[in-house]
Amino acid sequence: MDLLVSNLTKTYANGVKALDDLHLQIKPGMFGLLGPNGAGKSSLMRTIATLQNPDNGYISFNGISVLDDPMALRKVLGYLPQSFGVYPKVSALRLLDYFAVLKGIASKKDRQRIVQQVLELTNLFEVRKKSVSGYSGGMKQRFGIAQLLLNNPKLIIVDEPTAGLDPAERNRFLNVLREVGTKNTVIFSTHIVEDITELCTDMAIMNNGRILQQNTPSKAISEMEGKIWTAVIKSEQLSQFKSLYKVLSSGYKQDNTIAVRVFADACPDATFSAATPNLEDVYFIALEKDQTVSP
Amino acid sequence: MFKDCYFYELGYWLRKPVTYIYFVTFFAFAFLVFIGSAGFFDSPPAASTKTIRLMNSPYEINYTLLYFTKFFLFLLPAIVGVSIYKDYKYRMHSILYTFPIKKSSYLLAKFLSTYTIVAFISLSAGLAFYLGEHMPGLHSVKLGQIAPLGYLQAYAMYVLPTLFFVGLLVFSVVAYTRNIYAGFMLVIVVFLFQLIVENWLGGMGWVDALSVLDPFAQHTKEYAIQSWTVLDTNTKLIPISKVVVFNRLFWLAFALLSFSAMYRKFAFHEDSPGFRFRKPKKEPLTRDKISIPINFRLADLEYDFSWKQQLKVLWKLSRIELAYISRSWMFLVLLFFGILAVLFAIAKVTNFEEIALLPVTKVVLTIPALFFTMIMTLTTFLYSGMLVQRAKTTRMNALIDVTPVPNWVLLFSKVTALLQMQLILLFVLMLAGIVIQLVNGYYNFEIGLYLFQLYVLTFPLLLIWSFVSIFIQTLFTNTYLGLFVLIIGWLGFSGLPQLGITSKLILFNTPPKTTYSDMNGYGETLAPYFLVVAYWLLFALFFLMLAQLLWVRGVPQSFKERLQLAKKRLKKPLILGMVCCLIGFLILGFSIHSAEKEKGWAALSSTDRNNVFAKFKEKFQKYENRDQPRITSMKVQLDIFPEMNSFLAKGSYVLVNKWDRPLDTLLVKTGFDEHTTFQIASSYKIVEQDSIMKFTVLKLNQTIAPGDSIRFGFEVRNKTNTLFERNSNVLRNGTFLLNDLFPRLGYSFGEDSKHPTDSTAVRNHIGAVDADLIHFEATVSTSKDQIAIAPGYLEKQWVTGNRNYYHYKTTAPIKYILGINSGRFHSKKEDYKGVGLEVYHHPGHTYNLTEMMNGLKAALDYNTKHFAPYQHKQARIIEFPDSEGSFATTMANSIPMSEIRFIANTDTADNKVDLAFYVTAHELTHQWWGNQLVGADAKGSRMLSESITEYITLDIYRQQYGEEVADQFLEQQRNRYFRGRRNADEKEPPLLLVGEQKHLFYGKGAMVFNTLGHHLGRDTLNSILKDFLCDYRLQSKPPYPTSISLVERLKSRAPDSLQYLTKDLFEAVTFYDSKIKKTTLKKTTDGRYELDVDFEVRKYIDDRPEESLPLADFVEIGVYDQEGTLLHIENQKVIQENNNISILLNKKPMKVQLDPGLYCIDKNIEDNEQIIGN
Repeated sequence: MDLLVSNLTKTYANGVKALDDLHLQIKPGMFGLLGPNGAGKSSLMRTIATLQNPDNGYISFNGISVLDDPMALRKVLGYLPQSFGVYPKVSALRLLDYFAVLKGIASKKDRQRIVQQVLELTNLFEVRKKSVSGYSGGMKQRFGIAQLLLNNPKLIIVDEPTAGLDPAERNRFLNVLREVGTKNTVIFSTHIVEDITELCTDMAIMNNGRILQQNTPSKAISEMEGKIWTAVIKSEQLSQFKSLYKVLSSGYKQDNTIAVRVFADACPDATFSAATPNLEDVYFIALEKDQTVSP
Repeated sequence: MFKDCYFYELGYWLRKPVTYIYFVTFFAFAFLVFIGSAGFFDSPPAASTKTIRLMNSPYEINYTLLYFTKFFLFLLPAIVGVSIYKDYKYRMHSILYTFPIKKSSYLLAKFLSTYTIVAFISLSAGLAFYLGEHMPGLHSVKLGQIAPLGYLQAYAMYVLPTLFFVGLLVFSVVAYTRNIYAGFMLVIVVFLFQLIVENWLGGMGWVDALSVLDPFAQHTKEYAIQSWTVLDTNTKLIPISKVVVFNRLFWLAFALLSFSAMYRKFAFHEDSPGFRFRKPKKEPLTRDKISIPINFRLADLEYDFSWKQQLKVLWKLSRIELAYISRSWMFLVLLFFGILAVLFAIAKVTNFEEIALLPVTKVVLTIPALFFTMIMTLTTFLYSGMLVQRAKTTRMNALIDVTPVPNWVLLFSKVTALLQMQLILLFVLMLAGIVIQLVNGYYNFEIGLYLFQLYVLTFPLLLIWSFVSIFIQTLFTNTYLGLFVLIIGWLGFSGLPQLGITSKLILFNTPPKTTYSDMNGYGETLAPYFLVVAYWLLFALFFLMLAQLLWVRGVPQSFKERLQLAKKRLKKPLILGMVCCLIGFLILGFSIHSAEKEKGWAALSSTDRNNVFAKFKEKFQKYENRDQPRITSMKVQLDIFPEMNSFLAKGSYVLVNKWDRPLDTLLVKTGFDEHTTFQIASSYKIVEQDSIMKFTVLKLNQTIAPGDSIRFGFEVRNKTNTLFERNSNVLRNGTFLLNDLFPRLGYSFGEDSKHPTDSTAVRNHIGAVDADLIHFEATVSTSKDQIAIAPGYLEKQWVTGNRNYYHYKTTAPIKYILGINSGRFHSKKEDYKGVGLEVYHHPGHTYNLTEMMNGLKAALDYNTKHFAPYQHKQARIIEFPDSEGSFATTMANSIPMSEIRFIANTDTADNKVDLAFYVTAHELTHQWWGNQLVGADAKGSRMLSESITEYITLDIYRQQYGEEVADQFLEQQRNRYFRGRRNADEKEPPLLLVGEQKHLFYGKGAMVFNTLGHHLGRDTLNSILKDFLCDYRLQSKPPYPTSISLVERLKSRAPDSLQYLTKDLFEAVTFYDSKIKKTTLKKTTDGRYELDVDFEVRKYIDDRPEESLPLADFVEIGVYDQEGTLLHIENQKVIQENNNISILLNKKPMKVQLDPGLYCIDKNIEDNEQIIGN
């Protein structure tokens, strides 16, 4: 049930190198793909989801050579793109039935059963007869999950699903995902670090079309133990601090002072105190490293 | 604000390459069309005295620009519609509509800027024509002076306004619905609307309403110039008539009204107001309780990816796609207008037309076929794009494309949906036909014929289009671009014949036409049809498979990527399929090609024919007036084999030298489509021969002395039919063979007749150069289930083996104009005053038999009473299939009559002319005027036969049906005259010198004799005619009578006061221009009414309209009351232009009409009547 990606390269017609000799191995469970906007997350996910062909590379899942036999992957794939539309004026019930047909569920009874189940799971049963094009953002996203579940997928790819959801919706969404993720391989891209912390058993940080780091979240955090320091400084001092230290993040407080987090092997200064590392630190460090390496 | 918006949008379109692509494409097409029609691709035409339509006359420029305007209309949604639609499509509107833009600036700027763009593109056609005029290599006879005003007018009055109105409508609809396809649909609806008003209002004769409602002002313009001749068309600028202006104002008002309706509803809102047919239920989506699922297990289901299941999926998907098409209001609107258009198109033919037909299935099917196929083709173009792009447009593609459904299932689900749509539309067409039949009380629904014509013949053409349009729409991934390419391709292929390309190998999806006759079915037209259809079907299938290779799945790809992907998708079965298609395509193409190569005379283009003939003439014209012996009798044994489409004729002529010197040269012309051999008693040698014109000049070794005769034997076989050409006129049923298959003598190639004063003209009669009247005897055999009929009376009938034999013989001499029929006939026979009246008709075609019999009887009565006895003992009407023509004619004692006349709608409820009665009476009257009186082979002889016959038919009609119906008939003759005049390619000759112009010898001829009859008295006219007839009756030797002889006779018998008539009516082309200027009505003291009418009468010669002729003419003035009843009619002698008349009336008059009986030929009779003011 491993997903293996190797040597994946894709350069778009406008010269943007979206995937740059990318390697990745993903085991069953929740896998978080973290990266800033434009890192190539969506390109990677679309490529795995058979929506896009790379210039080069190899993808396999559970013995399926994805690029040679996309149809085989599609049979076990559930995909939720970053944004999608639906045929207007068609109810959730009808649309889900439509997708169930596309996903190879031949018997009408079976379709009714699974559609009912995913509707209940995603709490859309009440509004199943309303047209999906009129749904709110959260409901639509849940509909996206509902359609994805129809074929009981082994590989699930969700591309920034929580963007734009309110906290309650987000919570609910992540819970459904977690349930699905226990038995299958779920790839989950986000730029929200908390999503990963709450959810993922494995993760990778991606930028400029490359995987910068792959690790389990807890391990990644523990590796930072004792290397994150925090201090509260005046706003005028920020630029000075930035030139002196590896500033990972800075946040204004209400009294117009700034709390900075700095990465250092030892306490850099008396003004700093040790901080508990979190995933955000890991993320910023990875990006920081990438920037210093690549010109 | 407006200015900024305007120029922003204008700049957007000016930067887009597509704007220039449109311009260049249209320019190229227009240029090719123009130089093509100006003869660039043809060899120069032979010199001719005829007036040729100039291709650059203001009229022609206008006409061609209108044609292009119809294509420019499709740019309106693509540009004007898109200008606003793109804001919705790219969701710009959610940002844009929060800006402080004024609604008026936004909408007006969008519309006006894009209208500017479309107007700019529309200039391409005019520019192309204008440059085309300077192109070297055009035929100078087809070009006149360059007329810049013509261009200016066409654009100012027609092209630009039409684009403005329709553009505004398109813009309003797209802005309102936020749906670009609604804009395309609107354009189609505009076309349908024009068709509806054209058939409905035009059919009802409501010309004024039609003139106003015609969205392109096409009929409006034609109406304004209806009395023009070709010469006028070539030179004059189209007058800016009131009605054209009114039309333009009407549409402007309508478009502005629609715009303002949209404007009021339009708001800068996220969502469109839309059309709400049902009130939406106000049920807000409630926030659901959050419940967190734990430990769920998705149902374990069976997944089926088998072939069978995929096919099921395909079907299910196609149903969903079909529902998408058929449930949209756009489709319903289209269907509604489509049905209306079809209903009116059929109703025009079955109810409104002068020659109305019964709604038999073949009529109902053929009338709207072309148009409906066009609409369905356009719909296919549009919906193929919408279906192919549907997932992408709604952005659901990312969800669909990752499902394990193969590309071919997706592709074919779209194709299947499209085909289902077509099947439904065809079904609707069938229903519309049945409705028309029901409404007309016609209950013989030939469902089998409907199904065959629509589903077996028409559907494959649509199928081919749907394959190709799915390919194009897949290739271009942009619905508008795809649509544009398809329409241009369509236009391009339909324009190819104009460039001289007529090969079925190249003309896409254009099989040879099929004809259907109730008698002979589809005849031999099906095989070539299906061959060509199969050829293009393979072509289309190939491209459909290509579409599968290029099918877009996932994110948009560059074309290079798509090609790479296509290479990957190219698997064995597909390669096999594509190769099979290609091989089949090539094989069929080869057989089409070899069939096309076998071109006979009939397949030559008219230019080619002219050239061949010109060459022939150069060499052979020297024989033109060579004396020939004449055929005096003919004996033939003709065997017809209907099931083999063949015949064999063996026969002989007796040729007599009727001249006073010996003859030694025979000029033999044999049939174009036949193998002919001949034997002459005397030995001979061939002097000259032309194998194309089938003309042989031979010299007899022994001369024929004056008064002597020789036997000329011949044997004629038909050539076999080729795939695309019918060489044999033998049909499976309803064979109608004419005398042109037999060898004939003399040099006669249907060139212009001579002047009646030419002494050589009166040597021959108009029917034949090689015979006076002849005796005829024939033995005809045919298959056992058929009856064969030849001139003469049946002497003997027998059966030998599997064949029927008939022996016919004439007792009275006949013209050498023969028809021989064979078919499965039913007959109706009746003895009337010693004459056997018979109708041989197709079983089932019994609708008009009574009327036909009545026609025969009425003509028999009238002509024997007024003129002379009937020369035969029998009058036989014989039906022939309408694939052979729509005419009726008189041949010996037979009247062969087209099938179409047997299915004429003779319901005279609304004063329509009873066509069956009229045609029969007309044809039988020819036995006197044409067969007893045989005119010379000179100009004007058609007046002796056709004009007199048409007049007599009118009089018979008057006696049978009364004045009112006869007036209707006369009005039709007047229309026929002016319609014909509109298209005549020669300056109108006086009736005395009429050639083959039907509108003159029928239409004007009937009017002329009617006027004469009215003024002289009908009995007097008849007695003059009778004397004339008796002087020449059944004369079988020259000199034959001419039109001059009759006019001399009329002159000698007409009183002095009416002498002007013979001159005006026969010797010159004279028109009146009369009008009522003023009417005043006074009530007298004794309660009566005194009506005072000022009116003007002018008379002039055709080509000198300014010069008034002196008057001493009789003009009638009729006064009518409120109910339209005639109160008073005054026959007034008019000697000056301005006249005044006072009439005392007992009842209050309502209307005054000058010349209500149409005795004066006046181009404009609308100003001849006036409603009386108070």
